[in-house]
Amino acid sequence: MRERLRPYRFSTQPERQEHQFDAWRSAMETTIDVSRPRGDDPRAGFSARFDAWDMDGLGLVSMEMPGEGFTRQWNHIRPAPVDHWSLLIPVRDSRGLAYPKRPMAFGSLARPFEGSGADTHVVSLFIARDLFRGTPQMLDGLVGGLGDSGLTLLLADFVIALRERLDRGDDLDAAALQKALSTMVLACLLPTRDDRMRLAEGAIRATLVERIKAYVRRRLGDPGLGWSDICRQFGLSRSSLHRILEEDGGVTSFIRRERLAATHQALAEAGESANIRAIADRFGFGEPSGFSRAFRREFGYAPSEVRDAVAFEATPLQDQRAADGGLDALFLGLRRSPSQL
Amino acid sequence: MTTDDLGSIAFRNGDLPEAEQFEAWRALYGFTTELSLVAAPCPGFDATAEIWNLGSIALSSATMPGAGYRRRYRRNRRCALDHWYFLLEDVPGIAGIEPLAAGNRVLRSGSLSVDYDECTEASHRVVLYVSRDLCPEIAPALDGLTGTLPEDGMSGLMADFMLMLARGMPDVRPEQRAALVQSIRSMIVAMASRRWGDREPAASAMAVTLHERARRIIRQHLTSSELTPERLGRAIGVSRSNLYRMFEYAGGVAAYVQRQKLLAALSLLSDPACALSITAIGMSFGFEDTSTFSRAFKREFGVSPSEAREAGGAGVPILVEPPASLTPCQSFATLLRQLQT
Repeated sequence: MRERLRPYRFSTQPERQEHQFDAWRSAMETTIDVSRPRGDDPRAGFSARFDAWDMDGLGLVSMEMPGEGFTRQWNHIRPAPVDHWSLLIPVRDSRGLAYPKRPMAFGSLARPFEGSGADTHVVSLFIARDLFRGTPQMLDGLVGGLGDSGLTLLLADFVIALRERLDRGDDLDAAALQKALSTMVLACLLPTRDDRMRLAEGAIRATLVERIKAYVRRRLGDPGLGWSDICRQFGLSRSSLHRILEEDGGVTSFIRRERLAATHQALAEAGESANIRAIADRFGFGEPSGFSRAFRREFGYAPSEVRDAVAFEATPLQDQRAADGGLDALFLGLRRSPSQL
Repeated sequence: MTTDDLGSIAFRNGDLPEAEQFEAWRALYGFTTELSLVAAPCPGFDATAEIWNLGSIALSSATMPGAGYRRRYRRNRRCALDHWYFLLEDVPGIAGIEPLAAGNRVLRSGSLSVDYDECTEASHRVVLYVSRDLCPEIAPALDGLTGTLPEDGMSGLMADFMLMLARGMPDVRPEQRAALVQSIRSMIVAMASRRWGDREPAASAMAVTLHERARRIIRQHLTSSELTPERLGRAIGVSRSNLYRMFEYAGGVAAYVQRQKLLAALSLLSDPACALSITAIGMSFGFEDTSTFSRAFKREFGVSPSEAREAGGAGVPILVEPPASLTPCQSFATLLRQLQT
């Protein structure tokens, strides 16, 4: 007998009104930075709930929130802890009225995003990147609003009907739904042959970016890693290399950020015993004070704080959040079951 | 009756004299079904139907007089088609619930090749006709899925989906129909996989027609040079001319085999894990040389094998559009006869 799909549920209602928004905020603070405009009175409360289901790597999240007068903003968190695709389907507007044509948007949690709104009901799909393993560059080209073609509206209707059945506890098959929804999302996003061919060209260009990034990541410890080395390796001029990595802030900045991320990971893995100096050295940061400054600028805390935090915490931070059952738990755990990989 | 350039049919009989209305309705379905009016409180039978041709799937949505107008639907024994069908109809007599809403409907499935004899007073019927070529891999599951399906779970979601299709079809643009077929297919596969373990496919052995046996043999021998019309005819015990008639809808048995080979080649080319060269793929399906293969491929799908591989290598198979050679359907019967991959 298959196990029924169990929801992650969260509501701010048990909280006192002045704490409600903070509770909401902290349920997703690892992945999305949600805030209210400065000057809004916290005593007004923020009665909100979400229900979420993980269908074998594809997450469906239904959020019901207060509308008019309760505008909130959301921002990307850097570095992004997850890189799932996202498909947002607003269901009811700030006055609680159903959208006749739903303004859907497709995006990625890995890419910078920001926005604000006061919709009262939003249903979203979050799709683990490895479900569309072969298509990332194509989908990256599509990030943005989706038209209101018949197919998109049908997908939105379907997701909303699915949410109702999940909420009711219908006996549904997670793996089968994941496959069906993935196909529908792809069919919907890449509707015509001409689009596919056009996107395929973009994908071939994008592959070069991915290859360059992979090359950089393999050689982070090499002090000789720099633009001239990469240009030689890929047969590119300095200006075309810069253009290719422009979205990532240019070659030098990309390499520095990758190195910082690698030291962060090494620090966390080494824990108490971490020798910060040696780790910084291993990833090509020669000068200790320069490294600390750069690290703090990137992450907002010092390298020693990572070491101390890991040494202090009996369990890693992420597992703790999973036990709390916030939306972060779903995001951090969202991946296809190992048997499917 | 009017047909548009995509072979879809809009039917209404309200302009006919009352005495002729039911007869016109009966004629519309006569190809598959012997329809008779068992009871009618008033003369006349004012009904409308819209039928959309999606290439390998047809969708019909009909509205007719309901409660009191008892009709008997019996399979037309002369109908040689073996498409699967999913039939969603309302249950008259429950006041206050929208037609075809959950709680006021029943979903049935079956094959056009299996006898049925049923009475109904439904006022709304949505029927999905599905060519066996669309999802041969789940044929045993679908053949075992005969009869009334539960409103709970995956089949309930299928009913939701069919209702959305019937409502949303007018908004689907012609170039999106191939993508829509992929979406419908994924939903059918998801629903059938749920049933796979629950029912024995043994009953289906009876339902397998000669036509289906021929198609299975073709699918199993696509790479064999011994797959000739003569051998195929001998294997299932029909004459060459009968075999031709069986595949007349596809332009004859040779054209059908050719198309299946090209579809199989397309599926290999769309698989990023497939390392075979284009020449090797063409040869394995019995094409003399690469240019013969490329020409045939391009004629069928509009793109060359290498273009298909580039698009497919990025993870998205080229969606198969209905063949351009399809003549505009003059009637429902022609449409159903021409349903194919």
